[in-house]
Amino acid sequence: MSPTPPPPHLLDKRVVFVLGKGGVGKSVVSASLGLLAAGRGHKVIVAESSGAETMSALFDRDPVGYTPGALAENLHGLSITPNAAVEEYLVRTLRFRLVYEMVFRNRFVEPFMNAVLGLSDLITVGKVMDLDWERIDGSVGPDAEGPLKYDLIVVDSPATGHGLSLLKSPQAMMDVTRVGPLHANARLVQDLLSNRTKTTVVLVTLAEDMPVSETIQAATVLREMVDIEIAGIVVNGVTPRLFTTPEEEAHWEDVRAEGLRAGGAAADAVRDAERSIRDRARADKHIERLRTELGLPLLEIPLLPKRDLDAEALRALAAHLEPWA
Amino acid sequence: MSAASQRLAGIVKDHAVVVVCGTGGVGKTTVSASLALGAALQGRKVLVMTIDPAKRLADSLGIEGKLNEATPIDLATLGDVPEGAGSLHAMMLDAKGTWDETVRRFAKSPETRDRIFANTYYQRASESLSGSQEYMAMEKLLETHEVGGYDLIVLDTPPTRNALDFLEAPDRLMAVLEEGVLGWLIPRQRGRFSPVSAGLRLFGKGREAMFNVLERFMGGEVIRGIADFVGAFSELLDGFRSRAGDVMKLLRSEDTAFLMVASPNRIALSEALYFHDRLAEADIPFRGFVINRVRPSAAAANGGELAGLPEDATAVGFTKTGDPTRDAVVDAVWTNHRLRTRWALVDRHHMGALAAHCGDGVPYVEVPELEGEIHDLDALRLLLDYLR
Repeated sequence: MSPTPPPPHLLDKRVVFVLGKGGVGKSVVSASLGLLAAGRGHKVIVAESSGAETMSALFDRDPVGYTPGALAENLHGLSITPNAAVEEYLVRTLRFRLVYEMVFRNRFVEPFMNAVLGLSDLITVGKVMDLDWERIDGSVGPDAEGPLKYDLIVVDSPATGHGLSLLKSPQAMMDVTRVGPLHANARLVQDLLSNRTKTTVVLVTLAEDMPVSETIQAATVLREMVDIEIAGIVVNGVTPRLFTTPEEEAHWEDVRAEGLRAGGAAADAVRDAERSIRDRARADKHIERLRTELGLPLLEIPLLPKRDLDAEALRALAAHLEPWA
Repeated sequence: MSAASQRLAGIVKDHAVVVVCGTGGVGKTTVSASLALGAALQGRKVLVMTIDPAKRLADSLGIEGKLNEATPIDLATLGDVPEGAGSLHAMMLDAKGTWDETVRRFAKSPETRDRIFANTYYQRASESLSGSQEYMAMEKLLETHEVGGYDLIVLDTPPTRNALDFLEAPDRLMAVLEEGVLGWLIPRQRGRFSPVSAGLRLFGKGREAMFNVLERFMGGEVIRGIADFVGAFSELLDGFRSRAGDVMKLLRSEDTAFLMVASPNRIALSEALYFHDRLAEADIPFRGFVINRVRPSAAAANGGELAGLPEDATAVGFTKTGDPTRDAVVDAVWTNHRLRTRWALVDRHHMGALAAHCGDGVPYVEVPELEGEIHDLDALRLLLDYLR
């Protein structure tokens, strides 16, 4: 066993990017983290940037869209759709909507600018910076003053590949454009990402082969190519450990024999226990691989028995994130 | 269920192309490889094309690092290979490499080709242009299909959030590359020219204002680089256009079947349903669902309900001795059983919703959550038992 690094304090940050492979539970971890912070009185916004809006559904609200809307007490949400973000940014920067519409709303220019220059990625992260700047009175900008609108911004990022593109986009834009407003904007966004007091990344994974490999790869890319802190790894959906002490394990053989003798549901229970023990052993191997290869703080979240994820399930998950508060 | 299973086996036997779709993390690659193996064991000559297999699977199949290259898989390692078995090849797709091949094919002169390869924006466009990876998977499918040599090609598509992107990929890619950008960033002309001045000649003062805005935004150097790339690329458009048409023709053909892999959870299944409906709209032949990693449970399989399981373990034959440690073990074992039963019932609930939506007409098979990772031929064959 490698020594475990101390847990991060996520609620002391301003911006937490939640990143991971598709299907590992990024949205759920983002929502739970938001709920945890909101429960402690922080003003929180969860920003989705994956296109499909899931946050409002999790909280059983109508879709909020690009304009922040309430999800729960102290908790807001918004969906950063690239088109809306690009429009907002360009109209503000170009000052004239007409110019924006003439030049950038061209259905051919827009996708090309986005793909080749990573413009929409940069501006999506730029919107996170706006949220960081935003004051209660609505003013936004590096020089805005007054009480902050949000204490914590949780970014539910798209799946790993695109999520990494988002975080790489400021540097990529600076490499391409040497001058001009885009370059200046990219510089500011990169400064926010690199600020270790304010900004961090939480990697979410499952204790399985592919997600773990992808997590290790993502962490490597972040370390080599993006100047940003990684707070740690949340291992989601882990099979709960059946026995916690050697004393308990010592009784297993006896209980097992009894259950098999009894047959029926008791025998089913024994077979399920055996499966859980094997599942857990496999999960432990994957977790150990993460631990040794990355040396980052790890937090396990057990698989929940809920049918649908609702506010109650999110609160249960939030309790598991407490050690990283 | 057996009727549906029959149909799934028939699909692999009767089609020339099987496209396996699904969101990321649902086990598409293993299902594709297993179906391909099944068809090969039935006597067909099969190629499975995959985009991003788990490293251990790629290693054990011997395709790791071999991009865009059909590699024969030695079925003899399986042991009892049935008489009359066909063959299995696997290919790891490489979007970037396919772009390069396509540019080589459609470029009208070596000069154009080199100009594109040398352009830094080509690199970025071929890697990150939206839909590019999916489009190149289709391109490679078409090319391989045209060359022939296989009875069946199984395509494991790139993971996309809504699993539909690739269907629109040809259109989208064309929209991006076609007239628009080209038409007004630069007119169609051969050779070297100043895009700005050429554009001005053709389009007049309104365009001048636009170039000024773009130039102010990104610098003239960037604009000129993009314009040069796009100008060179415009030569390739006719080739791309006709290929995109051929791709759609192949996808809509009677010889092609689409399958959808999904996990039994709400998000994955609702995306699967959306996909099912969209394929129907696009006039593309959808042939069935594979619901993968269904959590098994003895109680759920017997049609049991959680309510049927007593809360107390002693009611089913366990004893409590009064030793707190042993009693805790009994409770842990019983709680675990109730938990696993609940998981299985949750999965069943979600699949019921799928069945209700699709009616009886759409076949689907269930694959239980198998233990461990599927990373070799033997494991793929094990999976096949559920895909028949």
